[in-house]
Order: sequence, then C-alpha cells, then structure tokens
Amino acid sequence: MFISIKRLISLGVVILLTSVSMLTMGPKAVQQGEAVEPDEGNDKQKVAKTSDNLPEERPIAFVRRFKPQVNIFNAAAGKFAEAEKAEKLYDGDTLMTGKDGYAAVQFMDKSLTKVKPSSLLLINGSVDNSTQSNSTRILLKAGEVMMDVEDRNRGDFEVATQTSVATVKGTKFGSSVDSKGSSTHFVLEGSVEVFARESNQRETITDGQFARVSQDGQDIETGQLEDDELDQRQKEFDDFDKKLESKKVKFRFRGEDGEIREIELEYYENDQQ
Amino acid sequence: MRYGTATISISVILLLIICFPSWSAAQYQVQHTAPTVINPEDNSTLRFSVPGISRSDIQQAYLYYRTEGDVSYNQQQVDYRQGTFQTKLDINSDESSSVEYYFSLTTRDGNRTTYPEQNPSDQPVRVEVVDRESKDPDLKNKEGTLAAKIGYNILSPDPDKRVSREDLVIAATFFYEDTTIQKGSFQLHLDGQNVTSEAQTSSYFLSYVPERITRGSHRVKIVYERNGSRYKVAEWSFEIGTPDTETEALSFQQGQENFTSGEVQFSARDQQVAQSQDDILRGRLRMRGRQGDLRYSVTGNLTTQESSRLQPQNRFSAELRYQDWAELRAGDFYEQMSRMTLSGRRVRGVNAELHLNGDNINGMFVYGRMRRSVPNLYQAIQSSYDTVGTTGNQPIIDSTYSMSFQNQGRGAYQRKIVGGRISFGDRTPIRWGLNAIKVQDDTNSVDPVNDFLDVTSRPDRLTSQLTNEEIQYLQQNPGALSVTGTENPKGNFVTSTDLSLNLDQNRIRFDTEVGVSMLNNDINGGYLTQERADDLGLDLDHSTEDILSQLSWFIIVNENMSTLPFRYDQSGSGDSELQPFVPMGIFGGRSEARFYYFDHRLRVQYRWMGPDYRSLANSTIRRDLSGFNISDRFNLLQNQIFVTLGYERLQNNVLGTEDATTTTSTYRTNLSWYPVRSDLPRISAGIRLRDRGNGVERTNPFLSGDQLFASVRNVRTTGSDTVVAPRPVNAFTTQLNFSITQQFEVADILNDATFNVSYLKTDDQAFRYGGVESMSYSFQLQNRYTNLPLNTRIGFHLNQSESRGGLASFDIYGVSLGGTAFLLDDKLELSGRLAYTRNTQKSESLEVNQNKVTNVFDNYYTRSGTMQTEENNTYAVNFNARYQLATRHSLVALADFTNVVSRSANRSLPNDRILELRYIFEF
Repeated sequence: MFISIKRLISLGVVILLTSVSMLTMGPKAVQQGEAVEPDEGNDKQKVAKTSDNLPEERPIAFVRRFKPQVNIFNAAAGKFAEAEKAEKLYDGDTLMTGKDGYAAVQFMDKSLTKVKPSSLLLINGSVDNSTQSNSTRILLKAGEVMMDVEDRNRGDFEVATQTSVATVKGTKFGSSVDSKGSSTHFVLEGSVEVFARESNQRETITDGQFARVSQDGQDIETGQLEDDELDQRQKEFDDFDKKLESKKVKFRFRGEDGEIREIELEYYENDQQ
Repeated sequence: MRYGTATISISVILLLIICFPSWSAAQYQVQHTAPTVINPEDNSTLRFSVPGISRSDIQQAYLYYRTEGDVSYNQQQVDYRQGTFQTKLDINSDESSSVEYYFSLTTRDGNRTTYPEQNPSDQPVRVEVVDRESKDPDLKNKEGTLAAKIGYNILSPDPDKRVSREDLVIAATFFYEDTTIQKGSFQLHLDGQNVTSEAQTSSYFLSYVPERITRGSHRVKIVYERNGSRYKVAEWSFEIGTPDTETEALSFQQGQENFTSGEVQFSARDQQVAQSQDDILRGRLRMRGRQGDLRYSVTGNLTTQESSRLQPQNRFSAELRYQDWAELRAGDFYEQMSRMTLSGRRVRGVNAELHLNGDNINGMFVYGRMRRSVPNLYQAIQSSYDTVGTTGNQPIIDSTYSMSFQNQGRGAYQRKIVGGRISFGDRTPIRWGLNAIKVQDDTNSVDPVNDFLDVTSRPDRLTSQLTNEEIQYLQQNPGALSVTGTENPKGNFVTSTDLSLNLDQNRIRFDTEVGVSMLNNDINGGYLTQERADDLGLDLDHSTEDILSQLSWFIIVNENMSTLPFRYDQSGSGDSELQPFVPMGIFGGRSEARFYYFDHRLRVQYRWMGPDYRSLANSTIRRDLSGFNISDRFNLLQNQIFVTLGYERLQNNVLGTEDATTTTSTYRTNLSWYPVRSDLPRISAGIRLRDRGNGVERTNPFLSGDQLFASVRNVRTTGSDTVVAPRPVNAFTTQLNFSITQQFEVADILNDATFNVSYLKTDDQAFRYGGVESMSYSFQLQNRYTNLPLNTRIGFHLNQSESRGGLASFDIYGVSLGGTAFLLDDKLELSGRLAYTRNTQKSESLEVNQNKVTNVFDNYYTRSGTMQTEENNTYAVNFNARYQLATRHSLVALADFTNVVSRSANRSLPNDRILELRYIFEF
C-alpha cells in the first residue's frame, strides 16, 4: 500500500515536529508558554515523588482513546512520553494534546473527559478505598475539555483555570481557556457552580447556560447558549471520536546489497493538510 | 502467501467436487473427542462430527447432560454449524465434580444415532469438572469473605455491551484496604485464557488491549491470586461487533440505559441429496434492547422446511423483563421448574415469573403446548384369509382385516401443559418450593381410527382394496378391524415440593425434593363412571365417582392409569368393590447433602423413585430405583491435583413386586492434574468398576454346558411343574479412561494437542453372547499461528468394538483436517474441513435351535455361521466463507459435499452437495 506525496509530506512533518517537541520543548511550547507546575492546586493526597524506587501509586485515570499527538508528563518520573491506549494517569500528571491531537480520559469512577486539540491540563486526584469515590481536580491551562461526570461523584469533581474554579453538581459540561486567559464553562446537563478566584464571586449555571470569567478573575458573566451552539459544541467532540481510525502505510526500501526491507507506519488523517 | 494458501484450498475443494463420483449412506456414526477436563471458566464447547450427514437430514439434535448424582438428564438443543454439531456446556462447578452427557441425533427418516453408541443413558461420557478457584467459603465471592473485600469498578467495556474491535480496552480498578488482605496479584482471563502477562496490572488497576480478538461474545474474568489459590473478583461478558450507538463506540451515551441491538439473517440454500433437488429459504431475527427499567429480547426463525408432519421448525420467542422482579416470555422456550417435574423441555406458550421481596417470594406460571398435533396417515385396509382347520370336508377360514400407518404416517396428539411453582426464601439459609404441572393430550386434536365406524367417516380411500362383501361385513362387525400402532392420548399430573438449606456460610448444603406422579395411558373415555365400572364388573359408588369427577381437573382417572389408585375388595354381592388408596409406586424423592471442609467436597445422596413415577415433561427420570451415592472430591498441591472417589449402590424392584431385584454397585476413582503453567500437560485418568447382579442363577434342567448359558429361557422345576424363572443378571464392567492435553509452541505456532483413550469391557456371566469390549482412541491437534491469521485442526479417531460375545464387531477409523483463515484485515474468514471415515462392520446373527420341537423350554441360541460384512468409506468436505461487506453487513457462503462409497456393495451413486448463501445485518 502506498500513499500520495502530499500525505507523505504531512506525515513526515508530524513526525519531525513531535520529535523536536519531545526533545526540547515539553509543555512550555503550548500557547501560554508557562512552565509546568505539577503541584499547583494539588491539595489532595500526595505521594512522595522520587525518580527511583517509586512506591506503587494508584492511578486516577487512563487514556481511553486518543489520536496523535498526545503527550503525558509523568510527575513522578519527571519526563514526557507519548500517550498510548490504556496509559495510566497519576496524581500530578500533565496531559497535552497537539495541534491535531485528541484524547478521551476515563477516571476510576467512569467519569469521562474529552480533550480537544491544543489543550494542556494537569490532573490531580485521589481515591477513597472505603467509599470507592474519586476526588478529582483538573487544572485546565489551555484549550477545551468536555466532561461527563458519574452521578455519584458529583460533589468532588472540579475544573480549575487560572481565574476560576467550577465545581460539578451535574453531569455533562465543558470548560475552555482562551489565549487571553479568560475561562468559559458551559453546561449540557446538570449544574455547575463557578467560582471567580480573585473576587470570590460565585454563580451556579444549569442546562444550556454558560459562565465566562474575565482574565483578571474578577467578573463572572453568565448567559444562555442557543441550542444550535450547544449541539455544535457537543458535535465537535463527537467528530473527534469518529476520526480515530488509523491507517497504515508501508515503506519498502532496497538496501545496498539489494535486500528488501519493509517498514509499516500508522498514521491518522487530519483536516488540515 | 496468505492469498496463495486460500487459493490452493479452494482448488483442492473444487478438484474433489469434480472427481468424486458417488453417494449416500443411511447409517451415520458420531465422532467426538471428549475434553480431558471441563473448567467452568472456559465456557466449554462440545463438538460432534457426523461424516456424511447434511443439514437436510437433520430432524433434531440434542445433548443430554447431568451433573453427578442427578436423577435425570437435562437436554439442550445442539446447533449444526460448519459441518459439526456444537453446543456450549454451562456447568456450575459448585454443583458437581463431574458431568455426564450423551449426544442424540434423529434424522428425518426416523433413525436415531447416539454417542456413545451403546446404551448412552446408562454409559454416558463422563468428564471431570475442575475449578481452580478455592471452594473455601472464606475465599469465595460472597459477602463478608475475602473476594468481597475487594471492591471493583468495571471501567471498560461495560457488561453485555457491544464494542468495535478497534475501540476495545479492557480495564478495571480495585478498591480495598491494604491491611485487610494479604499480598497477592490480580490476574486477567479472557475467554478462559490467562492473558495477565500481556496486560498491564498493578495493585489497583488492570488494563489490557488485545492484539487480536474475534467477533462475537467474549468473557472476562478477574481473579486475585494468593499463595496458589485464586479468588474470583469480577466476571462479565461483552461483544465485539458493530457498536450499539450509530455514530461512535465511545460517546456521552456511554452508560445510557436505552438501546436496541440485534441481527437479521436471510439464507438461501440449494441442495441435491440422493438425487433429490431442493431449495430452502430461512430467515432469522435476534433483537434485544432496553428502555429504562424494561429489557426485552425477540428471536424468530422461519424456514421453508416447516412441515405439518413434523414438530415446529419455525421458532419464535419474545421476552420482557422489568427490573429484577418480573419476567414474561412468550413463544418457544426451554423451561426449567424442578428436576422431578419440568426440566429443559421445549414449550410453546407463555411463561410468567415474579420475584418479590429480594427473591424471597417467587412465583412461576407456565401454559402452552409441548407438542403439536400431527394427523395420522393410514394405508388402505388389508384383508387376509387363513385356513385354521376343517369341519367335515369344509375348511374353516379365519378372516383378518388390518390397517397400518403409511411410512412416517404415525401422528401425534397435541400435548398441552399448564403448571406453576411458588417458592419462599432465596436459599440463604432456606428455600421452600412447591411445584405442580398438568400435561394432557388433546383428544380432539387427532382423529384416530379405532374401528371400522371411524373409517367410514374419513375422506381417505381406506376401503379401496376391499370387496363390497368385505365392506358389508365390517359395517356389521366394526370391531373386526384391527388397527396396529395407534398411540393413545395420555394425561399426567405431577406435583413436588423441594427444600434447600445453606448453613455455616454455605459449607453445608442440603437439598431435597419429594414428588408424586399420576399417569393415565388412555384418557379417551374420560374419567371412570359407574356405568363404565359396571361394564368392567366393578362396583363404584357415587361418592367415589364424584371424587373422580373433581379430580379430572388435575388428572383423568380411569382403568387405564399406569397404577390404579383403587383396591379391589369383594363386596357382599360378589362384585369387586373399588376402594381408593394411595399406591406407593407413584412417589419419588431425592435428597442430597454436601459438605465443603478442608478442601474436600463430600456429597451424599439418596433417592427412591417408584416404578410408576413418570413425568411427560421430563422423560429422562429413571424409575423403579433406590439407593445411595457417596463421593468425595478433594484437591492437592494448591488446586493442581483433583482426586475423586465415589461409590454408588442402586437397586430396582423398590416395591418388591418382581421376582428378582437387580443390584448395581459402582466404584469410581479419578485423578486429574491441572497445572497452573500452560507448558505442562493436563492429565486425567479414571477407572470405573460396576457389578450388576440379581442373584438369579442361570438354570435349565434340559440344557447343560455351553448350551445352558445360551438358553433362550431361564427355567426351573418346582415339583412336577416346569416354570419360567427370572432372567439372570450377572455382569461385571471395567471402564478405563485416560486423557492428556498439552499446549506447546513450535516456530511461532501455538498448539493444543489432546489425546484420549478409553477402554470398556463387560463380562456377562449369565449369557454366553452378552459380553462387550470396546477400545477407543482419539487425537486432536489445534494450531494457532502467531504470525499468520490462520487456525488449523487435525483429528484422528479409531474405535474398535465387539459385542454379543464376539458375534458383532465394528471398526471405525476417521481422520479430519480443517482450518480457518482470516484475510483482508479480518473482513474475510474462510473455513474448510475435510473428513474421511472408514467403517467396517461384521456381524453374525443368532438363531434359535429348537432342540426337541415338542419342548419349548430347551431352546437355545446358536451362531448362524454366516458372517456379514459391510464396509463403507465416507468423504466429507465442508467449506465456509464469511465476508464483512460493510460495518453492519456480512455475507456468508457455505458448501457441503458428501460422498460415501460402499466397498462391500461396490456401488456408485450420485454425490450430495449443498450450497448456501446467507446475508447478515447487525444493528
């Protein structure tokens, strides 16, 4: 099977960029250029992080589905790695999606978070053995996520940004951070309490409503989203799931001695080429 | 390379089709390789192959199975797929340490073939059941025990969900306090295979992404292992196929409550069997879904093979469940009420169940028919005249008028069933239940011929071969017509009560059931009235007649009962007066106690079944039987070695009404080695010794030596009288079984090899020609190619048997090759099978030597001296291809070819062939 030159070039660019980013930039390359602070907002149970002889830690989530590029910074090991299906996420880990990347992350209580391209989020959490409940906080530094939270865990699921904290009281909602630092939370089903960090102002939004917190963390603007807009937001995430089928391409080389070698690569189609 | 292999396979098959000339055997032989052991975790599939059979020959195929100590067999239908009969055996290892089964195939010409071939219900296949999980109640998955202390959450896939192959991730998380359980590890099993080494496991989380997984249903099991013992933590099933949602497999509809999914199939078949061309169409629907708390499923099978002369080939069923407390079923279903009433019989009707108060109050109601009516087809009346003597110079001529059925013309009455069960308690610690069923044939559903008056009202030309004088004679003497083989309508009422106890955290279990059954072999005349009793010379008072009238709602009582509930007392007038009483023979009961201590599973069972205990809804119950069974199963070497010891003693003639009582004592030992490491073989070996005897000696004052032991009758003299004595029974049977299964890898090919040997010998000390000796070998090798999408199978089978003291012998040699290839990215699945069987039968018949013609007691059997030999070669080729057209659409093509050459008859007949195309739509 052979591919067109155009796709081959796209594939090569993707490989090159990924390699460069892994080697040099890490998450700082994402829009805001901020340093990764794995401990920020981590007021949950902590585990001693050493590079060697790590005690066994309970993961709080795993990568259910993904489309490259998705990278995970493991806080305990202190290094980046490309995501794989079923990869575990621990307290303090950072997940980053590339320009065309997408990830669906499932938590231990089956809550689901979908992460759009060009997003950066830090995951903190813990699990209570006796009640089998999760306490989860996602620090959204850039991009957009949509969440479907299990009913029984409503009280302990938070999405924080630099300027706001949204405490989940319902089930389906989304959060985003724009390039200027203001954050927006919207609800598909249920309710979410939004807290502005600087002014301590609180607002509760319900089905179809949004709350936008200004970049200085002072003001909260609420409103109602049109049905079309709500559908569009959900459809965008649904579309990402549809495009997760990978394709394979074989490269056949002839060596100096005439021997034939084949290399098979997996690739995903992107909208932009 | 992969395409080349498929091309070669197709070419070989085409070559065989072109080159082979001939056909068709009437007798079938069943080939089967029993598993070494059955592990309930593995969802065992039993396969039986019948060389030479085609789908159109099959009327019905059933597997009869029972666990150790059961009074009767359960039955389940066996599917015919890809040239073999296949069925899954679902065994609860808590119930037994072994399972016995036999396979029964009935063909459309009325012939029945079984495996084992001889006395299958008395000598079924026996396989040990091993379950490597510890049975210590502290370790079982019950509340308050170890495994229950491990909480879990199934993350993916959801139980019973359908997911696409690409989207599959098996993941679960665990919750427990570190201080409450000792250090161990989690293991993951997929379809019975331990895949832990390929999964990501840790103390709290487990995930696995299979590299290759087939479409269809799969089973996941998570086990916690500690010191060689394993404890089940979680178990669930899922399906690989087109996901339930239309768009993607994973969406925010995850965990949604409403869904509908299913499958529709259409198939068209063209076949030529015994030079008879036939086109058959079939349709099948399977659908299931959920709407809130309501779950439903619908199945339907339609076929152009439906015939009013057969029981229904079209099958339908619909099921509704509301939460966990209400169920309603309609259509065809296999009902289970209790072992002694209704067990596993197909009923077409309705079934409703209620489970209230957390399963502490349960009710079940069944109404429907077990059998539909089939009209009788008779041949024309035949007359015959025999000269039986002379009077003077005139011969005395006896005329006989008889009528019989056409070929396969015997009909059947519609058989209805109504019944119910109510039970209290969920078995922990106690459950009590009451069951009752009434089975009755509808006398109006068939129009039988009992005498000549019934003939005149029928439109058939049944008198076409009679003269007018003969017709006139029969009109005046309608009872002179003899009709042979007519089945009478029956009625049956059975009721039973059962009690179950579970004590000491399920370490002690006790089950008992007692039932009573009444069977009427001919309900045509209704219940016994005073008038009818007078005709019979009996005196029946009015109050008794009233009782019978009221009882007729449950059971019609008349003179045709299998056991009359009356005693004859001489009345003052000299007539026999009927007094009701309760005959013991209609009762039956069984009790069983099981003890689970110190890795032992001790079972003690006692049963007493009267000779007249019969249930038309469970025809496999053994009657006229009493005795006990004791067995112990214990494990050694951390559940790697399983030892079974058993002793059983049974007797018939429970009421003491027969002249002799047959006692059967059976000793049984089995040893199974079931190692954890898959590179070690699994071995099972067993010995069974059975002694049957009734204490009656072979005696005949007119014969001696070899002739005595070949006598036709057992005779003794009492004074000057010579009487026929009970037939002597004195036989000793030795049965040995050995089986070994080994998994090994060679050149990236995973192989499963199974070798079975079984030997049986019966020494009949009472009859010269009663001995049996049989030796059977079978070998099967299954290969899974790691680097190729290919599975192959090879099998070999040899059976040498001798019966009737050497007068009959048959040798069956069979070999089969098969394989399955997965091409075009798993979109195309090709399966093929080639089988060859050589069957040699030799038999010499017995003749009766009348010795002195005037003395009927000195007859004895002798060999005819003529050995008949029949040899047959059977070749069978099966081919199957499944192609996935699109996400929800598949196309399946099947081809069967059969050729049988009779070497002894040296004949050549046309081939049989079947071509079938099937379309499958999944939604």
